[in-house]
Amino acid sequence: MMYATIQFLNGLSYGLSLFLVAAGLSIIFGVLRVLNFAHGTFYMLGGYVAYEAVSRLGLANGGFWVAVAVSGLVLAALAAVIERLMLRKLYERDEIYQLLFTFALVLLISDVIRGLWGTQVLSISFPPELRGAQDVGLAFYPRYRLFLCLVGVAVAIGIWFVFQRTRWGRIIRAATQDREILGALGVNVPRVYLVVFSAGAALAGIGGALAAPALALKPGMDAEIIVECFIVVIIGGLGSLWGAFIGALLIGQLRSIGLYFVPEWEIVLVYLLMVAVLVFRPWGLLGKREGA
Amino acid sequence: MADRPTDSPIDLKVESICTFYGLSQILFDVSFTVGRGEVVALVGRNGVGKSTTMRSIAGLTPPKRGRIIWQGKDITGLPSHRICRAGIGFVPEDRRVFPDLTVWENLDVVWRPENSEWTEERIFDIFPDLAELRHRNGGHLSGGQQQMLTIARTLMTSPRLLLLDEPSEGLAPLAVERMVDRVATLKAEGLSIVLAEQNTDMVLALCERMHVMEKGVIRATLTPEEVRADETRLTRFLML
Repeated sequence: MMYATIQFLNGLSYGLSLFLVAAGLSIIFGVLRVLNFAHGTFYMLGGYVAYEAVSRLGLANGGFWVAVAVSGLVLAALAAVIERLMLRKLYERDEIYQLLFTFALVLLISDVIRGLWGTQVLSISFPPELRGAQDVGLAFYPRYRLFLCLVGVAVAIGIWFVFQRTRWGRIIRAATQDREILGALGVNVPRVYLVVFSAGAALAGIGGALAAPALALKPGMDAEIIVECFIVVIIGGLGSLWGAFIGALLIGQLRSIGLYFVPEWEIVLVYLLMVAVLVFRPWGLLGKREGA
Repeated sequence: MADRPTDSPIDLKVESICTFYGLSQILFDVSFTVGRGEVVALVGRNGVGKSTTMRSIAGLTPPKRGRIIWQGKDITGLPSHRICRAGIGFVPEDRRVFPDLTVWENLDVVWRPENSEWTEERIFDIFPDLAELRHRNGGHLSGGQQQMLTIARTLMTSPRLLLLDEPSEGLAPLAVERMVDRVATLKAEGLSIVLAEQNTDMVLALCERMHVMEKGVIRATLTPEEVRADETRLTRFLML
């Protein structure tokens, strides 16, 4: 029972941290209709920025939390510059140009990271407040991972709140439905795009910073996360927030169950689920059917 | 094409605009003016350039040549949101409401703090049916209700001029009558209106003058009196 609880919590914390990154990817696609290949690289850069900030500020006295905030802000600013100066010119073009552009960002940012931080594996320690294990009734579980679960749930509720209960959220939803008319009604749609792209990148950066103590920073980690994010949104439905949430939770549980019962099949199970969704429900569990 | 002289100050001046979709030219030197508080109609069959004229003014399909002057300022080529904020409200054809937003959200989403002139209450006064439907999704309304909502939504931007593109399209005769009443109310509120419309009764009931379009040019300019005196003056353009 204890082992099952730990496996469940492993899957949950993994899934919820994955959601942080996949949510940004899904929102950016929903609004801008751009599939951002560089989203995983934003996540990786967020981790490295947090590493840099922690190595300067130290972990104690809230240094870790400042580092997380700095990651979010740096990624938001970088994404704003990218959107304003480059991506904006590609919306009217064929999708292939957008894909090539975001792929170029992957190569560019990865090289910058290699240049600045080298290729060796780096890591951040857990913040002092969240070290150790917590009694969760049936087992002891690492505090930091429990904290990641809370962040994932809080971000999901936060995004839902912004989308459903604020004017900004309503404007973003309207932009996904008819951007031309929204512009003709006086809303500065290019600015909405800028903010959404920037906010999505900030989520990726924060996700990377928060993941840094739980895993190692190394070049190539962006490819792993972006593949999983794509699987999340394929399973959940592109552009659907709750789809991304359910997709991420499913993948988290599937991986931890797989690791327990059939370790050599762990990642295969995830791909099998994706294939099953593509065969029986190609638009995703919560996605909208094309043309419906 | 010469315009009739009017007493009211001229708010909108469209000067020889030529508009293209890609390489194909849709409008050829279209010119007309709208005085303050006037209703000017664009009539003609499908595909003669009425909607393109509206989209050109609204900044959605900016003209390649010619100028659009709004209250003395050249607005040609401005982004559509700036044209809207300058006081030109576009009501698209085909009732493009935001389908997954409620009626209230459809209205709220375009509200801006400086547009205090139109409030939801005032809009619900003119469109009482919408008040009862305020929590219904835009996509779940009937055609007539959606048409009202598109107009109400544009009013929330506090326009001085409305570009009404085919408001009667697809409406039952009774709904068309109600639409005429509503537009008459807006006219009485002092709004200037450009009305692109195929329904001759609606045009005759509302407009000061009408420009008959054909193949991207204005072929004739008529007053409702002239048409009532001799309907063939209008029908020969529409029946071709």
